[in-house]
Amino acid sequence: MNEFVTFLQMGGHGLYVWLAYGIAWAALIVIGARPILARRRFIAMHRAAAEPERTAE
Amino acid sequence: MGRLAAFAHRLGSPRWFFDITGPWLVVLSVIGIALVTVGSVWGLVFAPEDYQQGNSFRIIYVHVPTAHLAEALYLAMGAAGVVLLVWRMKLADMFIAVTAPVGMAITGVALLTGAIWGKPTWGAWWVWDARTTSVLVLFFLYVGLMALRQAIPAREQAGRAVAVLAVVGTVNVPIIKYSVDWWLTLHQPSSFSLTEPPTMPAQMWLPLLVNVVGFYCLVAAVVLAGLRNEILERESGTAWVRDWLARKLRGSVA
Repeated sequence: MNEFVTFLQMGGHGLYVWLAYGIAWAALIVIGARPILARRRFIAMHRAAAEPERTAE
Repeated sequence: MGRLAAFAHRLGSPRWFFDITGPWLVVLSVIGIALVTVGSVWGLVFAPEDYQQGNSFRIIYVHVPTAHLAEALYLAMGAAGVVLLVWRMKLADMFIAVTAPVGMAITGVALLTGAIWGKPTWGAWWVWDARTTSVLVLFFLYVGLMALRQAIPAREQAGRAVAVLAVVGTVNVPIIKYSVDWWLTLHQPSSFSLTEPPTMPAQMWLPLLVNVVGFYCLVAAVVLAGLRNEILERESGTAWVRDWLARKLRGSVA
């Protein structure tokens, strides 16, 4: 346990190191999620547009 | 027609590009996630401390990949700008449109991680030296590309204006690259060189190499995914996109 705390503290540089990694990982997640959500939106939009046609058939 | 000309001709077809890049996207994402995971854990846990900087140097494993990508993405947009202006290839315009916000985010990360590294190392979050200032200019170039596209309503004119800015802006990239050699800066010089062996021990530079390749794969996947969406949207009236959508909608119902 103590060893893990020492690891997190990074010899006093913990705040800097974890902040930098946090920002980098968060940015990767955000830029990665954007096209996935946009693709879903595109398909959902066209599904909504196709629905009335299907019920009319 | 030569093979190269045939390839260039097909690249002009967004549909062909969409069809072939589906599998690439999966491969790039899987490799990218695996490499960034390995490189980050390696860099955080197993790489030795720097004898001067202590543990703060571990920021290198996220700072160098993003800083490198910030420049590479801009050069790629510059090349796409030339392709658009000379050959009027639609795909090149879509590439610039999709890459600008990604590049802006990556440059933002490079600046922020640099600032966070600067505080314990130089004693300041920010210094106006040649390297940091030229990267800040790069960030504003990305912002400018996006603003310029927003400002011009006609898509084709907007694309051409943005392409010109993308091409002209590339002069900043060599300035960034050589800023640490041309001027006396606080920023340390490159850790890697193509011509000389690394001065760091392998336990330090191997995780960096892994993360650089991993970040490149992930960002390539993000740009590719954005490009595929852009193709679907711009071609949404065409028969092939309608067919694709019909298959998708049927698949999700079944």
